[in-house]
Amino acid sequence: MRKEILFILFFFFIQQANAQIAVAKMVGKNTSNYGMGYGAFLKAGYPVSAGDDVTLEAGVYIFSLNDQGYGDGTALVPLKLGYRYTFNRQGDGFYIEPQAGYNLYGITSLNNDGYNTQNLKFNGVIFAASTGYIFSIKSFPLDLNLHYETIWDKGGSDNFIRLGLLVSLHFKSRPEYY
Amino acid sequence: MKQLFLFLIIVIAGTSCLKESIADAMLNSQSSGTDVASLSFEVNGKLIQQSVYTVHQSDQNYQLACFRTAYNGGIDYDFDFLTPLGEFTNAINTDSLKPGKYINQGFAGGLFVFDDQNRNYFLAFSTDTVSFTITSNKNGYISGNFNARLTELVSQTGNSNGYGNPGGCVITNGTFSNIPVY
Repeated sequence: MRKEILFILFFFFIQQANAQIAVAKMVGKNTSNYGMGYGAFLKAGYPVSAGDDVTLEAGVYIFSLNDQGYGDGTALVPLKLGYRYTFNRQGDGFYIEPQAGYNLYGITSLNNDGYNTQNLKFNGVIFAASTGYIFSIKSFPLDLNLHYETIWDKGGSDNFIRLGLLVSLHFKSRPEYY
Repeated sequence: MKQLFLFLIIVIAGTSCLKESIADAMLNSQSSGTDVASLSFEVNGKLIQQSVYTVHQSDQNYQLACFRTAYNGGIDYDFDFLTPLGEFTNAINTDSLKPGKYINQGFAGGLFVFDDQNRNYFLAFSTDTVSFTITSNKNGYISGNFNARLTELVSQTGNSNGYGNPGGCVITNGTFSNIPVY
């Protein structure tokens, strides 16, 4: 049942939004061996007031380890619900956005002894927050933002920061809300 | 409200960055059980260590293992440790490897025990010994400690072995844990 709901959500996103790409970096304990990571995600907002949106975001992130070509690293599939608050109360400009969600799938592959790869699978609860600036270039809405995300599971946490320039997408146009 | 939100962000971000990664937490959880076999000992003061996930081992593909072999005269527990520098072996002849001390002594003809980067060491003289103390033998996993005094094989002509200084190789502070028995 959950897979069907996720498929419906993803199909809706594909109809309403375009997939977006970002660069990210793992931060925290023992992350110095991680190189730059990449993510592709779908995010859209639903205006709930003149200045606020409820957002829904799903994506895939891949972080590779600098391990001499063994191909090890971490992959994440987070699903998050957020609330975007714009400071000018008009739905654009500077904003903050807390998010919470669930990591649908996570895996860290490690080659510890030079012979075999160990795959460590996990899920976890997600806490995240973004701050950014929504603006338009020739009526094309853009969102420049800095994002921090942490996934907690098995007594540990995986954390990353993301800097992105995204297309700011909405389920419905804001003037309809007034 | 904004101050509370900022405070929560700082607390969550700070807390999460201080936690170990999920992978490290899972690995640490594994190593507290029998999921990791480990070995450590000193050869004339040089430290040698080895560890391997049990899930990565089998009776055909192993690094740290013990083989229980039955034969007409009894039962042998053959320890075979493959270290980064060479192999360490020791056979204990007993029907049941209960916790306790088991000592093998050297004898004429000699018995291979250890090689360190292609230098081979034997139980060759009566003063040579390998002493294993088994501290735990549960559910197919063995732990204990050991020491040894061995003699280097310096020449081999046909079936005749030539040995160096008796007891010239001293192994101390040896420990092994969670060695699987096949």
